[in-house]
Amino acid sequence: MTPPVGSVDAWIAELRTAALVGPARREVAEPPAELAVVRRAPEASREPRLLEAAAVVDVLLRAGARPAQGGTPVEPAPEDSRPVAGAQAAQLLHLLLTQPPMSRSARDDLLVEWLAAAEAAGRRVPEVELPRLLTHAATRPSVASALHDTLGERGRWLASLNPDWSALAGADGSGAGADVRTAATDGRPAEDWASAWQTLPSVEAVAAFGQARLVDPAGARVLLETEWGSLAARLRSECTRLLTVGISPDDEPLLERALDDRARSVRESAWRALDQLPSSARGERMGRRLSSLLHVRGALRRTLEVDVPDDPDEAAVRDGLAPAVPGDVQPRAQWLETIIHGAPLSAWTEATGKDPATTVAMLRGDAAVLAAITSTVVRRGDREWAAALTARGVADPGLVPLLPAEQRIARLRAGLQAPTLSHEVREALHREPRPWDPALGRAVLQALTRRDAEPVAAALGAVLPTALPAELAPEVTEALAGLDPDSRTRRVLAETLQIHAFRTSLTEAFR
Amino acid sequence: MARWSPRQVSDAAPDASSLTAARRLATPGPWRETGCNEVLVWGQCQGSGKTPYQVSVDVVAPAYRCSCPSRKFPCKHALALLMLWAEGVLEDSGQMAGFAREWADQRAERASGGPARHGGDTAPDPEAQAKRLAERTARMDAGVADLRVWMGDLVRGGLAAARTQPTSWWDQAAARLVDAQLPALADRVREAGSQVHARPDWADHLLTELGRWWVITSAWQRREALDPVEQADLRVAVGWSQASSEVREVDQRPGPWTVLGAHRSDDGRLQQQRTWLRHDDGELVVVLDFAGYGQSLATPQLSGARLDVTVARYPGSAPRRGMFVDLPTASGSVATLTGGTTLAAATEDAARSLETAPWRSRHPAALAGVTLGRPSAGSGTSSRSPGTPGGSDWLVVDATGSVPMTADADPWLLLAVSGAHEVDVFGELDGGAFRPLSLWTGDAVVAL
Repeated sequence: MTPPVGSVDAWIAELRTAALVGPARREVAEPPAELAVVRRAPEASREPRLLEAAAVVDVLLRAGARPAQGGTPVEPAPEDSRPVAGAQAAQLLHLLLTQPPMSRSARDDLLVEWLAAAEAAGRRVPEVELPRLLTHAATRPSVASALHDTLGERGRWLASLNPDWSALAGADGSGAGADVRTAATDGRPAEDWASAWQTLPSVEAVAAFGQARLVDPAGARVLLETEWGSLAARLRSECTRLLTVGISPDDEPLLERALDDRARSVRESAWRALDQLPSSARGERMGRRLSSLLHVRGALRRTLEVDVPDDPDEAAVRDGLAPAVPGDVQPRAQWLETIIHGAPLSAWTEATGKDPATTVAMLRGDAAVLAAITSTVVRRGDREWAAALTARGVADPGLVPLLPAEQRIARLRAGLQAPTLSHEVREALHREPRPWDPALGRAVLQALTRRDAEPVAAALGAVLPTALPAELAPEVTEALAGLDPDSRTRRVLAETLQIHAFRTSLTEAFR
Repeated sequence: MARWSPRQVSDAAPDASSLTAARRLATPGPWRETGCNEVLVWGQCQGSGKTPYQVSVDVVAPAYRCSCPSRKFPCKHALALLMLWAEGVLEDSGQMAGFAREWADQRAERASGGPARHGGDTAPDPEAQAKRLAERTARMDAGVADLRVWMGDLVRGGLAAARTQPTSWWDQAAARLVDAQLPALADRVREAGSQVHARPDWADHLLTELGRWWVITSAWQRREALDPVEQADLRVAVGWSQASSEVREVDQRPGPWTVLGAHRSDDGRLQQQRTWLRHDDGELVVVLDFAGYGQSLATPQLSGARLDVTVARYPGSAPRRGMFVDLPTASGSVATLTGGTTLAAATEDAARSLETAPWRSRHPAALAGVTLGRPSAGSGTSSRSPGTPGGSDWLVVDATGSVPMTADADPWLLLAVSGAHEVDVFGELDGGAFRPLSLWTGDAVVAL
């Protein structure tokens, strides 16, 4: 029998080894005297002795466990000056987060409304709801961007402790890219965030650049100019494309420089960006190219003819026209389209000396030309041209948001009279600011209560609950009464009512 | 009547072919009007003929009756019915089928001319009961002896070798323990078999686990020398459950009981709910609810609620298991946790409870003025502590030290509500870690 080992720790270590390899190969040590283990009857063989010792160790370790020393307490949350939202509002938030009585997209819309109401009332989210809300907001940008100051000191403090939520901890709750945004708005030295930007992986760098462009377009451009030489072609291209966000004549020198870039993808991005800057030198060049193709003809000078362009010269290729292909069919229609996209719209009215509406009429329905003009108008958001094109019968969903409200709604109402819902009307309804104008809401309700309304309900189901204005609630109730209980229309309208009721209690809760 | 084990059912079979035939019938498909009570198990089995066979079995003083023409006794129908019953598939029904009642009456008349035994209204024959008890403990004794031999074999080869054993090796040992009616030990063996591959500290864990089985089995072998309270604890440790009907009437205590906290778990097979209650003089009990797959647990009680309810207490050392005798109704609520103590005192309290039940590992703890912390860099727990690989990287901290939170605990709600300021928390000390169950602010109680 081996002599007792002096210390308890050493004995346990001995025992551990004996147990691992088996007591046949390693003697089971006797427990140290300080433990004062008393045996009723000594076990003869080694295996029971080992098991007996294991029993002692088990109880010894558990009975001897004491709180450890050390460990760093978490820095407590700072005091909150904002009061917590009231009990009724808290209950509504709890309901939205745990068992929303509506579809997912409507739930997020209502969460955003809850947060907006709390922000307006100067209240904050109750502490018990913070973990659930932060978990939800971490994957929902719309909810994240509505957080503002409703998290309170407690919420921001909590978010900063969890890596999944830390992006939400910023004061403006801007989500991804919050660092760059905060840096840009706080006016930290430019080189500081420029160096941070350099170290980001390219996908994140592009996202951060887009965010920065929203807040501080000039600062972002300066950064891009500074880093230009060291960036990979892909990053140069993606960032150049993002210059369309908040584009201004100040961006022109960089874009002009990009026209000579060795990477085609960068040149393409520059062409797209400069299409949005018709007052630029490239715009003027395109304008001249276009003007040379436009001719007013006819006895009454009421027809505007558009010639096909000749083979482009080197300067035109630099501006984005595809090079001529020797001995092949030339892409003349494509050249024309590129020129129209790049030229100022004023080139057209200058050629005719008339207003846009008359100018459009003079084109006599030249479909290819009208399509190119329309996409230019939609991209540049030109309201005058949008009205002119619409008045002359050009139907494009992109034009509708550019129309004056009255005209827009009139067009949509007319479109809703049609036996089937056209693509144009459906798209435009999705883009219409919510809640809708009551007159529009009524027209949609009527379309929904006609026979064969299921496709309408299917097309509009997702927007309807938040789009139908609350004042239509009585009419919605009336419409429900006449509907087949199993129809999709009924389900969509019932949810609409539910959301209206929810919204009413939300208003009351924050009153 | 305690259910038979699968082995008892197979022991009753006249030959192997009956058993095989019975196993094919032991699905709910062909059975109708099944039921059981304390004495009888019955059901109708649709065979090849038009009329279903009527099967009744007296499981107290084993006797079989089936309307089938088989010469085997008991027939495959009776065996199949017993298999279903042993698996817990049959409903405990108050309404006896007519044919079963008729048969029971005939038997009772023939036996003594006395009153019929329908179960429930008459006590079972004490002599038969004593015999069954003796049979059961003999089976358990054999199972305990078998486990100790198996443990000896395990350590002889060394823990490293045991780790290379396939899952089936552990499962077979567990299955033998189930047959020996030691289900709690079976669970431990099965769990240990999966932990040897799941835990980085598997060797220490297995060593202490073996030590604990050694304590339990040693205690079982000398159970005559234990007092009734210790015997009751031991019964729980081996998984010999006590029928609720035996407990309900015995050791009742009226309310008000305050709900301290509750925990729910779901391992896929079984959902469990523990509700900790405290009486005004400080007595703690824990009410356990179980629900199988597809069933729902009893409605959870709100932490902080004062319940007007009588609780019957199972035998055993404190904190004892309790059972609601009637439907609990809340008569108010409190938001202050009384009797809160320090981490050091709570751990010491948990250590002291090992004196009576050295195999117990979960202990309730009401902590006053704790906050949350993170481990300091380089201050890992010493190798001598039980280790906390099951713990999270959050600590519960007070002036006396820190204890890690259990891995299944979520720190975020606790942090959100407390703001890392000192709060009172009720929870469980479990294997060297703390599982917070409720937070008491003085204004509100938040279940965690």
